[in-house]
Amino acid sequence: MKTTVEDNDGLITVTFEGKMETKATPQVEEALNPLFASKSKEIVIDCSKLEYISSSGFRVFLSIALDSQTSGKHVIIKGVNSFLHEMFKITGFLDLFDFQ
Amino acid sequence: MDKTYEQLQEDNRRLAEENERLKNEYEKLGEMYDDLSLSYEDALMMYDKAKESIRMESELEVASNIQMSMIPKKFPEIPNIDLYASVSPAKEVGGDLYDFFQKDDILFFCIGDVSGKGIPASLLMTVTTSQFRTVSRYMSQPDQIVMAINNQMAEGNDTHMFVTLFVGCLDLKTGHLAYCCGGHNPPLLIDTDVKRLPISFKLPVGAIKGMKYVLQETQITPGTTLFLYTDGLTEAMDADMNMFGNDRMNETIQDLLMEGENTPKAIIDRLTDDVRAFVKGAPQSDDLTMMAIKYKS
Repeated sequence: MKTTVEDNDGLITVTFEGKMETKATPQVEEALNPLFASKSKEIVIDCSKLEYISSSGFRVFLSIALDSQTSGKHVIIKGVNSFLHEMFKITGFLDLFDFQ
Repeated sequence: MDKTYEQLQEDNRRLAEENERLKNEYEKLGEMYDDLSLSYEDALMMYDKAKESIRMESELEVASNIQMSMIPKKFPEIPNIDLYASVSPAKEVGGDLYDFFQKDDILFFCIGDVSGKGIPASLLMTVTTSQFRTVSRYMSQPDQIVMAINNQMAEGNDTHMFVTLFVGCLDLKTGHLAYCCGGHNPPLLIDTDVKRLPISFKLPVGAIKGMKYVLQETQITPGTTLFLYTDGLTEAMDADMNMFGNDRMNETIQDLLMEGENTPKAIIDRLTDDVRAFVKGAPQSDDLTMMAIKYKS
């Protein structure tokens, strides 16, 4: 599992690659610290290379959603495959983000 | 005979050599002794670690026993239904749960899956189970039960852990089912075919305080089995990380129906066998829980 956070003139792009399994989530959370610390209001999460999200992984997405609510960030999620889209739907997470 | 000066010099040189050899031997012995005492300290440390590991293992075993005691494993005769369930944690303690009890003519039941695994998940599992039992005593609608548990759990939830939860209330006399789903996999309705129970997709319980959950209702016809499961079934993985998946789950149940079998125990036992055959000995990646309720009449 690989997580990268890039800041391009105030637009934060988070890229997730691989399988977000339970054992990978502590590393993912640590890699997301620049996102939580950022004052940027526009966030894009690129999931085009993300293959799987465990329930612990959804906890990471919940943390992003709650942080964006309190800090007024707009989070766009791009590139989720049909399997992950179904998971986002069943867990009600489709309502938390702007999916494109 | 007195030694000559040269002989005395030679003796002195030999003595000095012997002295040096003995000094080296002594130093080597000292090093060996240090090594020995280090090994002894290592052994002591290893012994302490082993003792600690045994203590933790026995504590985990106690924790596992406590947790398993919260899950009903006996399935008493309940009028008009046949109920069976199984839980199989991936580690000593798990985050999956199911529960059921009868109050008057209503069967209250739930199935859930806490985010994560191991001890943190098991703690939230026990909290969820006890809250379900407490709240269901004075609330009779599944959406009220889910919202009450959600608000209690979301209060000060700094770790952002949550539980996917399905709560149902089945009228044993009429077959009327009231239910509410918080982010859990849609259960299946099994009669002559396999269908998904219609679900209003809402967030898991404990995620956001004040979240509105939806009361849904349906009529269960006699002979129909309601099958509930956690994602440890559909997301069971083999060594190459391939998942068991919804299609295999449906096929297994269809095969069973073709054989004229649709009792809760037959469904759960067959799925357990098929998942075991599919993963081919790969370590269990997630807790696996199933519950099936057949409405007879």
